[in-house]
Amino acid sequence: MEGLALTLNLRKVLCIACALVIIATLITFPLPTRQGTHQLARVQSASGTASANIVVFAQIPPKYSIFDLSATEYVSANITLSSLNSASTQTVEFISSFSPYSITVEDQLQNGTFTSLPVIILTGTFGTFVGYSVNIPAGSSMVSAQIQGTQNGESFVFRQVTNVPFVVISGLGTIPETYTILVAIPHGSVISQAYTGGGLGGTGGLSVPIPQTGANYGSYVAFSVPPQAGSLVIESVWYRPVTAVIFALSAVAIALVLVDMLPVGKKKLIQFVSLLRHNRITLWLVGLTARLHLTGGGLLKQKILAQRKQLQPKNLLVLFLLLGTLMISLAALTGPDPHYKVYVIADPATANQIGNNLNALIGNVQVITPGQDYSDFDVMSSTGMFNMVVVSAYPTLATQEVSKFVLPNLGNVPLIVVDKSANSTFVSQIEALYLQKTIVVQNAASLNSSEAGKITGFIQCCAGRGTNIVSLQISNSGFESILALEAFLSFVLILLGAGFLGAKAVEPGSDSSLTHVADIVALGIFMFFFSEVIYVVTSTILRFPLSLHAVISGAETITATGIMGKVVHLPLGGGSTPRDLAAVVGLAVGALSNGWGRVFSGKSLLFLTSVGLALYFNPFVIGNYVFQGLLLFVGNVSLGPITNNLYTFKDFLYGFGGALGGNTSPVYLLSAGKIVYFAGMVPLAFINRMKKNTATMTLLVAAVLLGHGAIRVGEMTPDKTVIALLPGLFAGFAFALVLLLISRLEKYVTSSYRGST
Amino acid sequence: MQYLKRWKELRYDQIFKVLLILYSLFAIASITPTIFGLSNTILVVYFLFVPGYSLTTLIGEQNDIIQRLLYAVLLSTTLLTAFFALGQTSTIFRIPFAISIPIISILILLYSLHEG
Repeated sequence: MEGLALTLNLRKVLCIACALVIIATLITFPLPTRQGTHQLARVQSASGTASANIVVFAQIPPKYSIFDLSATEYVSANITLSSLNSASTQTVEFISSFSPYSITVEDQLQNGTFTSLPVIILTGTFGTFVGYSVNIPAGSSMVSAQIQGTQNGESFVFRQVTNVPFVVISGLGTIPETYTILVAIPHGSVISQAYTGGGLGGTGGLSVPIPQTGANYGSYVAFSVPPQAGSLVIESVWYRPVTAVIFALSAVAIALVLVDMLPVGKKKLIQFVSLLRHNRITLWLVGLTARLHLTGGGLLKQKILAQRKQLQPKNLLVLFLLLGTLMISLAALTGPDPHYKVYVIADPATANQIGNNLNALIGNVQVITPGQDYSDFDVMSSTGMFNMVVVSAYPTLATQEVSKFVLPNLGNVPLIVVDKSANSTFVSQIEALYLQKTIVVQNAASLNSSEAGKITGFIQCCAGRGTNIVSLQISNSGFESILALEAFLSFVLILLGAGFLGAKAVEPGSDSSLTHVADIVALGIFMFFFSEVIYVVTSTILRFPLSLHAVISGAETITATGIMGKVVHLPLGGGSTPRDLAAVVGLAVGALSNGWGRVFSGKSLLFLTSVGLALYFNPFVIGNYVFQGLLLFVGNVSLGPITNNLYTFKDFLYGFGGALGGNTSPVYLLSAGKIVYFAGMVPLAFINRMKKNTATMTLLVAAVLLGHGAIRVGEMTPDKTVIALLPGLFAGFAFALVLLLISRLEKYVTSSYRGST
Repeated sequence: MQYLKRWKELRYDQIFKVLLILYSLFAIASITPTIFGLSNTILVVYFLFVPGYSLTTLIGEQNDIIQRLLYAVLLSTTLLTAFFALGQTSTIFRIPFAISIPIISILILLYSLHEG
């Protein structure tokens, strides 16, 4: 007996010690951060006596909704360049972080006269930023520019994130610059968080002092924001009190579930509830609940149970395979794209002229430019999207950036046309590598008859449109509808695949042996490969990518998911967020419907939900972290230090890859996203042998990992899948090990308390 | 006499764990330069099986010998790659493998012996 008591005491001491170590680690361990992100550096000037004064003013209308990534915010910038004593005409460029709807530039000459200057707007050459080119004539003394525009803020769970807008000047050398940023928010709102964005002397994600006093501006208050600030979080003054109540309720729910876990606590709870039952209101509430349960609630429960039977693994697998086959068949009947696709590397005005010229020559031409995307050129060209590439006048710096992605993959394009205004180095590189299919012309925007003949001849011979296997003639609009449908099916495919995996992991009657673990891992690998194959094959038959991994802008016309976004009026872009959501929902529904009551329970779900709410709505720093993490996960919005921590996590995953092959060649490149997918599968395979609370937590972890990894199905890079597989599995075993130890701790805590009573 | 009596009462798996603790100590000794001048080659076999085997005892794997062997190799590699990956992210975790992993293994095996 003494020995038993000693063992129990030792168990308790060990449990308490483990809990203290975990808490201490969570409180004290500083999350490492990576400093410095690629940001457009603002150019500060100052030569001679010239100087610049920039005032950027942002008015932020409140939009406190659940989820909206396009909350409109109004921005204006006043730029004054004074004491200009230039003897010759100077070209000055401004770059703004926001989209303009009005721009005026006024020039004051040394003789006192004022003139309005024309502005060339440059889009697509500075990523998502907008450039403005102005020629300042000789003899100017002062130039004033006013740019008015809009930008998108992000509203997420009743808080709004705004990016501090900025304007950059270049072309005047180094001149003294005064820079003021004013942000106006409505009365009744507060700025709760401010972080550097990596611009003007700042490192991304660091905290910035929050401006406390502002000046009244109608129904708004304008605050002067430090120049290093990159992002602000704005919330209503009611946000804190309301969330404090939610936090308190969640804490009470956690305490009740914890008390309920222990036999003594359960006994006390029952006594407390039976005491309450003597109260008339409680009696009425109990009666009402019982009536509801027998009528509406009971019926609902029956319906849910009936639906659960449909969600058996076998049915989900059949649907998954059926949908994949359907996507391929539909693509085969309707593809390829009736457009003649031309990738034009030229400034926007020239690209437009080239497009018109080719349209007259070939007909039904669609022009795609680097402004829409260039980083995914490899995948776009690999799926046979482009019939022709045209290289013309394009800024040198932008050419260097774009050529890194385009040049190695021009082999996938049947015809390359270069003109005399193109960057000479780039042209010589193209000629050296792809001479056989390169046609050099004088001016691609205005082809002469000989050049036009040469191009049409080459197209007829070797670079024509593909043919439909059953010779169907699909119109442009009809093809767009098919693309939208294929995009929709591509999300359902992920939903069903993840649902099947979740259902299979907790299938009743499945054992918890190594065979089951191997089954789930193998099925997870199959689900990823099969989905990726369906994506690749559908895209190649359609000659149109279903989705892309890292489109920078304008994706609504270059991916099927973007076209679906146009139909449903949502900015779907490359389709990452809906694919992520589909996998998370699929896995959760599949697992919960098959494992409810056996692997998961209402109490465990309530416990984890309460923990989640308490973490999200708590007024401490951890609440900010969770907000930033969710925003990054759901909306891909970088805010605060969490982005740097994500990079650290990414480095951790790459570490597994580094130990097992690493980036050995340009073909076998590691993909952290794909590693994440395979890492998510392993804990899921062990879910059957976990206690209920840990099992629910594991499902959540697996859903997050698998969901985030499933985004990469749309990346369509099977070689990366091969190299990510083993690092992912070993990372998964590491996560599973931690979760199994937590499960053991849960078992210990509950059993040792039971043993002591 | 009392210790001898206890030793006789030990089960096969407990004896095996004791041997693994000794092997772990031997592994630590092999990388300590001035002690025996032992070859580091014995660490290859050690890292391949022992850390993983100790982890299987911790997570309560009660399978047959071949499955336990598989888990041992799998979890050993997992532990090694996880330590390597942590070392890539932070200087805090750049602890020498050859010392830290045998120490962790010894602690887990001692705990496992205590739990029976």
